[in-house]
Amino acid sequence: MNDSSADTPELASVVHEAHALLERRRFAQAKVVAARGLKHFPDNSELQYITAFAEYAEDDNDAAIKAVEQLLARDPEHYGARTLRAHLHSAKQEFAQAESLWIALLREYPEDADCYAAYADLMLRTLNLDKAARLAREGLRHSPEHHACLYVASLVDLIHGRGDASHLLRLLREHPEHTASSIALVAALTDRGEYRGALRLAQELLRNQPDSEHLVSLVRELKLQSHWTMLPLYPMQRWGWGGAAAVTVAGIVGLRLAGGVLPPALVASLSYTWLIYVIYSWTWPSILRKLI
Amino acid sequence: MNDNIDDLLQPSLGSEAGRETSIYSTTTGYMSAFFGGPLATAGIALMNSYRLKRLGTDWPLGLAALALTLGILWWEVRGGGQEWLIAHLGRKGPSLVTSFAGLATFGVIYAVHRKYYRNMELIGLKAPSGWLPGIAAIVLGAAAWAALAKVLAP
Repeated sequence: MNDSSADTPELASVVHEAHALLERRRFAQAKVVAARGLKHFPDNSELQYITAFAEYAEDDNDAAIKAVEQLLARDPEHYGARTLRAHLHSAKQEFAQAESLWIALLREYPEDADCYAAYADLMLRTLNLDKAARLAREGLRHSPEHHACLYVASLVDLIHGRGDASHLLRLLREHPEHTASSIALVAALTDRGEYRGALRLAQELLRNQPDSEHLVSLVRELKLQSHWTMLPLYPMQRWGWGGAAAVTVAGIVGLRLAGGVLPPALVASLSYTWLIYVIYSWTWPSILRKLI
Repeated sequence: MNDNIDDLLQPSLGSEAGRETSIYSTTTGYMSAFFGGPLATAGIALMNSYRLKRLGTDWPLGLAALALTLGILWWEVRGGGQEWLIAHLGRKGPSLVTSFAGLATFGVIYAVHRKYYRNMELIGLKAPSGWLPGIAAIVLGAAAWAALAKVLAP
């Protein structure tokens, strides 16, 4: 390495520039800057990590894994690379491997709220809800306002259907600027059947992050739920399959009872109307989902 | 590190590789319930319990569905229920009761597995395809219903 050369950039400024680009989500440019730095400082762990992270952020998991493995081969204790490797296993749905990495990290850093939050998120994704709640609680014990732990705790509250919104309120109060806060709020609004409000918020988020697949599908789903043609399906939307079961049973029993009281022509009309409604409820949401 | 943390840091995913541990959707459960009755509903529910690794807790759901089936069939075949249903709900009365019992069973199972369904909904997890297990549950559930009705017939 020839630091005295006139062409050699200063390491600190290259790392700073690459980090700044990562923060602005300019991943391609961050990679270019990191690659330029690596020409002069090929063994620099931070630049290698930035390259790996940018690949991960651009969903090129294979390239990210290759970069992370190279970095860990030389610097096996690199914290960022180890957490990134765990995230990469999750992204590839290698959940058991991701879990073992989070456990190893937490044994070394038992007060690291970031690791608790990431492990809790993994548990949510694998339907280990109670453990997700315990991990988020443990993370919050070490860092009471940690945004990712508050996010997981808010989701757990919503899943349990608790009236307690204290975690969500804390998340919104302490981290109003954070995407996770808005996503949790969208989830809470959706849960209460306030689809239009949730849609406006999700659309705002999508404007800020147009490359997010998760947000695109969220907006599409909320557009579907808030479309005016879904109004007749309100019982199904609000109470899910419980509402569908109630409508089915009420329709069948009602028509049977009506058969003994009302004129046959009217019963036939009601039967056809009900049949059309049932077919509509089964088919229209799927058709609309394709149209939106 | 105290015992509580040690317990928290025990692996929960074992050595399973790759697969997401989502469960069959409510649509699969509902359709199986409506067309296959309580036994088909329990079949799907227990498949979900297996995927959630909570079969040890949920197995009584299967017994409850079997008890409900035997109770209804006993009433229909030996207690004059079949005639009563045909008189009040028409020729399709007995099959409607099978569907309603299936939906009632699904309601109970939904309550038991509700947090997992909501978890999947909120996180955006995709349910595995329920076509094959759903059709298998409906066919086997309906066949078991018919076989039990025959066994109970006087």
